[in-house]
Amino acid sequence: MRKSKKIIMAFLLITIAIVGAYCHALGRFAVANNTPLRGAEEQEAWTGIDVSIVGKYATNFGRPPRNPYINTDRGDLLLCLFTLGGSIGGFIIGYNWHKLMKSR
Amino acid sequence: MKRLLSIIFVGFTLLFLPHAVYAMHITEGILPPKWAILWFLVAAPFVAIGTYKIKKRRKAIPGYMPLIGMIGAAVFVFSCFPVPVIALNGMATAHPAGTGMSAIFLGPFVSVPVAGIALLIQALFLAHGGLTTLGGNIFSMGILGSFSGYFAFWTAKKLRLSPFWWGFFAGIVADIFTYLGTSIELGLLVVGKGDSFFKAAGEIFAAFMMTTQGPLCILEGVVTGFIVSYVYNHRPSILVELGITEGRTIAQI
Repeated sequence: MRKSKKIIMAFLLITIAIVGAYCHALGRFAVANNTPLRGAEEQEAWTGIDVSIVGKYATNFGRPPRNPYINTDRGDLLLCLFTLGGSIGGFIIGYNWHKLMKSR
Repeated sequence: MKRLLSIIFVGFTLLFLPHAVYAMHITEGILPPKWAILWFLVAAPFVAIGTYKIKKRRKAIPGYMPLIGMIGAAVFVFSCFPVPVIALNGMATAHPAGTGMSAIFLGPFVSVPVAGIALLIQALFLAHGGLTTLGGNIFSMGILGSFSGYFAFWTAKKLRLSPFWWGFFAGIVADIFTYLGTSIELGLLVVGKGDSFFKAAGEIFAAFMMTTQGPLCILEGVVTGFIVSYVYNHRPSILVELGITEGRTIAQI
């Protein structure tokens, strides 16, 4: 690796480290001050951040989320749609992958 | 017949694949009408330009529509399954965005409508995101994610880094900027209420990064890097046709 590349990589890694440390400090500050991040800690395990962060902060700001206009989150309906979407997605990836990578 | 099948597939892809994009979903009801309308207005020109570019490129580049189908599907799958990450708040899950990858292969403008269709179908069928917040979600994931990811890719390429690093930095930066966009949109909710926008947005962004998205964006970078690297090594003609590389001269990288 050339010297300039090494310098660039070092710069990028240091930047990531600084931003990471900054975020860590802010996160600690938020926890210490009982901000919604603490609420996030109290969420059920494996809760998505769409709920634990976005929903929490929006509620604190006076704009709580509400049910979608088309609410498919009923029983196993959502699971069915996810499975269907994932299956179709996987099939299309495979089909087009084959078309692009193997057949050309 | 083949052409017809291909068109049906792409149509299917655009309709059903792009469900996958709820990494940063702002749900229904969160954005007040004025902000919801503003984000729609911001997103509209990008979607229009992206759609126009798809129309133009599909004639010029062979295999462009199957590529859109594949990338759209990949974006869908990327963001469809919640990735468990253990971080500051314990066990949580989040979704990658996938727009860094789509921006590299399809270009940043085309990546916007792909993300937009994904978000729309999620809002319609998967109870993720929302119809009134669609503009805001397109702004964060589609516009900010795609353009920042493409810029990172372009910079890495100009620095003559290897294709893995093109994808790595595009994946990371797109993910970070997607969540930055969401933080900005949420932070704007406090404007006019006596609180500081910068404090609110900064705190939300920190919460994102400290909970799940920090580790996840690195994971997304690695996956995107491997995908770009794989295509570069096994089908460099695709990258040449898309204008991403100039023949094999780049092999010296």
